[in-house]
Amino acid sequence: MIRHANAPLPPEHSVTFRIATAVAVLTGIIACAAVGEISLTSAAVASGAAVAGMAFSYLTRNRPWQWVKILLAVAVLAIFASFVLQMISAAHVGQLSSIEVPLTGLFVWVQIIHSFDVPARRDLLFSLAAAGALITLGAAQAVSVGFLAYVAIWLGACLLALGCSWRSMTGGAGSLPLGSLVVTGLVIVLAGAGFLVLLPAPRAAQAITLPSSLISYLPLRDPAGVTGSGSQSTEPAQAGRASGRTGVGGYLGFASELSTAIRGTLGDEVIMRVRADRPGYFLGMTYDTWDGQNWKRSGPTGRIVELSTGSPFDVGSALSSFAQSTGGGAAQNLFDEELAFGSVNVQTFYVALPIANLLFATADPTEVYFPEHSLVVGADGSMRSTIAMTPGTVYTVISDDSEIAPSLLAKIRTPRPSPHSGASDPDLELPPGRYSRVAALAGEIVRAARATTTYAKVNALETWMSTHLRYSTDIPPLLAGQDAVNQFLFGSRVGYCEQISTALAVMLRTLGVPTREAIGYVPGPFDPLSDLYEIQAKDAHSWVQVWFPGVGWQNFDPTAHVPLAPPDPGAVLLSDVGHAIVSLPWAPTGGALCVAAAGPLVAVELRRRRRRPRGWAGKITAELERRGAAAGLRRQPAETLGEYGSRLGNCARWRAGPTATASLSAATALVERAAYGSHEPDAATRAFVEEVVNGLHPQRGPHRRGSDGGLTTA
Amino acid sequence: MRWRSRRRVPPGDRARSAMASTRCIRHLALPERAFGPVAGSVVLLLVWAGVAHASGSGWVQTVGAAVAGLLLLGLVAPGFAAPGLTLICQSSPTDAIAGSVVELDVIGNRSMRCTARSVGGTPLLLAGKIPAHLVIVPPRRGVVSAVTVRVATAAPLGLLWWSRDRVLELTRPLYVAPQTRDQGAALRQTLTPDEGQGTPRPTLTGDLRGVRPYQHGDGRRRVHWGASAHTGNLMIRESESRQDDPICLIVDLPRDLDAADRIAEDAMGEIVMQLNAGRRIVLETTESTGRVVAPVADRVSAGRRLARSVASSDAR
Repeated sequence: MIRHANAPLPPEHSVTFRIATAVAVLTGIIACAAVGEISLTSAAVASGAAVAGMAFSYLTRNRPWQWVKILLAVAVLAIFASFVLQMISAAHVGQLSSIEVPLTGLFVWVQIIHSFDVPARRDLLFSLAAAGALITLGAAQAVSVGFLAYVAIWLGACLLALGCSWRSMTGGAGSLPLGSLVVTGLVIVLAGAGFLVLLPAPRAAQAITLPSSLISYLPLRDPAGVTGSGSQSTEPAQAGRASGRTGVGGYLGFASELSTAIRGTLGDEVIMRVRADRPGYFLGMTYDTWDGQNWKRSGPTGRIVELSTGSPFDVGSALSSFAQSTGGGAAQNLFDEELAFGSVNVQTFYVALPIANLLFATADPTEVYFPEHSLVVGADGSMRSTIAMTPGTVYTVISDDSEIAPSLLAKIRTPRPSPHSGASDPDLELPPGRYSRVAALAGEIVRAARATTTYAKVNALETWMSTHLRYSTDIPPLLAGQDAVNQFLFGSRVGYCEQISTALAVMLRTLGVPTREAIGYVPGPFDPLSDLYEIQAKDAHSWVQVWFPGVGWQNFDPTAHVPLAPPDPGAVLLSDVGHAIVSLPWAPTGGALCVAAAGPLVAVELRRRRRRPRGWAGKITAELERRGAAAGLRRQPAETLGEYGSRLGNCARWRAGPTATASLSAATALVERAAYGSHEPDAATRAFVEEVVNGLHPQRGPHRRGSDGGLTTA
Repeated sequence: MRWRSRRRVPPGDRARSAMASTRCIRHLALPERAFGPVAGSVVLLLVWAGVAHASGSGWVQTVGAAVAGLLLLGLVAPGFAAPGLTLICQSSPTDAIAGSVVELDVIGNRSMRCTARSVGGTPLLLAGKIPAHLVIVPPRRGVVSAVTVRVATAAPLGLLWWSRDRVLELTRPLYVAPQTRDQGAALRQTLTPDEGQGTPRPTLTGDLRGVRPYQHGDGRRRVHWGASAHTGNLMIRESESRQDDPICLIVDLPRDLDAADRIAEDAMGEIVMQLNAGRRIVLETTESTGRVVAPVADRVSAGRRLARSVASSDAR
């Protein structure tokens, strides 16, 4: 039976089959390199080796070299032993999750080795299956939609290879039915899409180590503070300027203060990709101090603790200790028996652009997987990295997203004291003497709605805002000294999330409800292929957190209730045109424009070349026509060269020269013979004709009418 | 020479046995040896789903969905392609011998594998619309006008074969002659001594040699009435016997197919032997149209007669 199983199979002669298989293998290798599973150098070497192996196998397919098989078998055993050793060492240090990279290396090596011994169809099919394993390993780390290109190429190569395999099974004769293969591919894509729709979204098993990794390690000078983008790791956090974009996709928050007077230009670039059990408001940080134009962080909110336990970090315990130290711990347990408990939300963030050293998460993070030995946790639940958040950084946060029922919130009738002890409560503080009108307005709204509880007051204010305010990002900058809330509520009443949330926060504070400003991101568009939310720069958002005694801080987003402002057609048109110009694919567009510009030039040149006289007769004819045109005698379309020569000879516009009517007639007759009579004139004839033609010089000055009777002679 | 079997079958049974080649046709396309590919695919996809849900990667699930689509199409699509498989016989021979190879020129409408089912044969892989030779091995004597062929395809990806049966109509009836068996002693034991080894029976032709008493089997036209009146017994004209006088061979086949084949093979062997000896043979058989008595000039015509012959009406 063993002898039968190892019996040599008939060699596979189809070059197309081998090329398709090689493309599938190379796609798998390159895909692994693209997601960082293997280095680019390794990928280049592996690709070259795989191609060389395929070529070697093709050349020796009829008589495979037995000693090569032995060598390959030994090499495979060695590589497998190396892999096992890596596994054992990884298990010893408790990093079993790092199996992916050695596994990829194992598959790549096996693929390379196997490519030197693929004489038959079955061997090529094995290579195809191994390429599938490689593409899967790459897919495990892929977060970008660009990975679709690798999947498409791999699938197309597999389809072509299997089609070639089927043709080989039936004798290998005839041409490959590419049309039916295309139809088959479309059906496969449709079936795959159907499976994708039907299957539940994959969720990382918490039994294993959750994803977290770093591409580069850039320690921060001041890890306790909020820094700018990761590429400028040593730069302290600065509020954005209206003149341009900040390093965080144009959002002016994620800094030491948040100015509502200006707004950056938010782009469409993907900041992060998030895989989450449930989408939510991904909190970055909060502000508690409002000065009329800017939000700032004060002492209680800015209190931090640095966890140095290494990943995973027990953030939940740190936050609990904060709550107990401020006296909020006991209060937070008041309604524990009524809370709907148990909504764990696992969120994995894949950083795509340099961002501030903030770790985003939905409410109440409990555990953080971050590949660093320390993590800074703020009292407001914000988390900061001690290293720069560069592209490629991956971290996972487990949050306790317990839903608080509105009925429970509605029971809290009287605002309890703020969790921060002391006479000065920044969650209630307002600049003195500025908000009497705001307080009157808020009180009037609450009285009209007969709202007595905090929840009812918030709802009443949100309802009023939804009917009296309009959302627009196209608002003029705030003048110096102007109060943002007064200007917004009693002026234009048009603003965006920062104006709207700030207005709600200020109105609630005038009613004695502790509030604070929260900033972060909302989930961006969902990519069903990668099962990721793509957070773009324009998904930066601000909302309000309201303190409910016994429950804690609760998120309220008044912007969600505010309708859009009626658009200004001109501004919208200009904005759309600007966005369209910015978002144009300039490489292909520029190429198309260049082609469009070069096309007429090329056409003109071709036309000129086409009209350019060819041969001696043509050149002489062109010269004669040129000189005749200079004398005001253009050749008529129906005029033969002889007739034209006679007309030129009868013209009296020539200044001087050895020509005469007879000479010109003879010259044109010779040119006609040369042009149409297949008579190649000798050198003397050419010289004579050229002398006659070149001797034609039109007279200077006005042409004398009626003097076309003869030529002037020298 | 008379050669009669003890077992008789009703006429028409032979025809039915010839038509048996087109019976038991499976029109429904079914997969062949599907357990391995299907189980392998399921296991592969389960592993894929496990990896996707362990890693939480949507791309793994996407790739897995694409692979699932590929496997689904590869496993199921041949089932839709198999009913459309068409096989046409372009030419077929007229004569064949039971147990020997016969090549049929066939052409299909697409790539397929075809194997003759009603008669033996070897599988043939057809590459598209390229003509090929389908080898069949008729196991029995008879007239074959159609062959049941199992056509199978694994298009477009070659992952699983699906097959169904098709009736391949031959361009002309194929007369499958019995094999030529040297009857030897076995045959001769079944013959009467004077029939097998005696003097050749006098015929009506030739020069008159004399008269003799009547013997069982003599024709009435050979009775010499004058001599019979003179002697008071039936006397038979006896002529000079000629070497090329035809030998009358009567073949009555039984209903049992195996026994009938054996008898036909013995008869064929006898015919061949006699033909090789330069003798002429008149063969009397029972065909579906009735009793046929006609000379056979060569082994081909003898084979066709024996191929057409069925069990005689008094066969048991």
